[in-house]
Amino acid sequence: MAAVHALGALDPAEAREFEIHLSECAECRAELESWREVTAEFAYTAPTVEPSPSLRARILESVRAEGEPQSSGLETRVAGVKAAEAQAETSRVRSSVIPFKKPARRLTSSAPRIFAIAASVAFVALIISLILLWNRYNVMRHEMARLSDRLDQSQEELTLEQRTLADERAAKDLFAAPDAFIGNLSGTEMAENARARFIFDRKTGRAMLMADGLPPAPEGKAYQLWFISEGKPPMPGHVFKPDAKGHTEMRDEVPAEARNANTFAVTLEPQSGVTAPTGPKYLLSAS
Amino acid sequence: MHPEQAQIEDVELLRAIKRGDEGAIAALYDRYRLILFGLILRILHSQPEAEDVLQEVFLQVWRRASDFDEGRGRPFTWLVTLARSRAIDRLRSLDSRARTASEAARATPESIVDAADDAMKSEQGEIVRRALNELPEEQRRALVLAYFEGLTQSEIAARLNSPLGTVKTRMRSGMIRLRELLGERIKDLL
Repeated sequence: MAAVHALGALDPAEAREFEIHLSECAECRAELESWREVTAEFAYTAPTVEPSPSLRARILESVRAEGEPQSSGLETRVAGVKAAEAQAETSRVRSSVIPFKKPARRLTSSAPRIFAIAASVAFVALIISLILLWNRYNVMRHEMARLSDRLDQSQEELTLEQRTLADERAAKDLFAAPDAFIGNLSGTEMAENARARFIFDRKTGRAMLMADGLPPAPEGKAYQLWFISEGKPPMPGHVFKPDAKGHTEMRDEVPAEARNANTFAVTLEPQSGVTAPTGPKYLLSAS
Repeated sequence: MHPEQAQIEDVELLRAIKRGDEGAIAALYDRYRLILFGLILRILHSQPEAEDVLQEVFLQVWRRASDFDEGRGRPFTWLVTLARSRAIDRLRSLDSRARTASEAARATPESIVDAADDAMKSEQGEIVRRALNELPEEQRRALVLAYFEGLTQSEIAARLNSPLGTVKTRMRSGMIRLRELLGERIKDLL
């Protein structure tokens, strides 16, 4: 068990169980560490590669911005990032052996304020949507933090934080898209309580599916999204598995040839995904 | 450099990082960037993603150096474990279609060949490659799929079209054999 866990290859349920056991069993913890000594050796089989020379400076900058090492929770880290920005702004170079370049500002803060005001007025609707999303993410984040107490807490949080940011960014872009299409999917007789909302930008193909009430996917199976244009075979979207509460939020990209699709469906398929639907429909849009 | 020597210096570096010594993290980066970046790139197949993850890894080392327990293993192992797990997390969060495409584009993912002539790793790399090559093909494949592609046992079973029980056995036997083959060397380092 420990050997396979060191490879990260236990299936999620087994991994969770084993993590719980680890928190109570010093012997197994030691065994896991000893297996990690073995798996770390795999790194030697990858060809060594030189990263961009600028990466070193970037890393040292972010470390410097971070301040003293600490076992930081999410809040401290967010505060750390803010402090980092403030610090980059004023570009205080503390005494150190490493030369440190002032980071380039990413946003063009010099853009006339009038544009910012105009933009915020135009996107009131967007902001309202974002607030709703944010509330939801905050609830999720809270829940996740509680569950990951036993695990490496900050590692869990960081991953979540990144995904949330990426999702927020994707959602924001989608809502702001002039050609955004929003459709509702309802559960078929396979899952009568399931429902979903599908948003996509006909121009770029960026899409997002939010679904609730799907039953857990059986071992080896996953749900797959389909885009259906009249008179054409369905085009495959991503495969996904709902979380423990049956909830799914998934980003996808509608291929160019399916951008005029007006029907959307979700079927149950082998978890590696298929190119044409084989399993039963669980969700279907009203076309 | 002698492995024991490197080991002592790594531990010293981590102690210095714990105290907030920025020079120490720079030194750790200089020492391990090639192998860690190679590992992350091998997993992600994307230079920008891999650089992003490498940055994340060192930031994590800076924040969590106090989590490293000198009594429990090598700093190298701690670093590699962190880098691999971050890379796999990133891989999972990436677009699954892009992932499929990059997998398709990849030639023989399980073949252990490496043309790099980096002095730092060539000797150790050779030992590990030789050990891996001593494993039966199907054991090696399963281990490599787990480590570099982040597949779980069920996913490996599906990929290789083998029963789950068989995959579990292969992986366990493969790991035990690998530890025997590498055991002496690792013991030397502990």
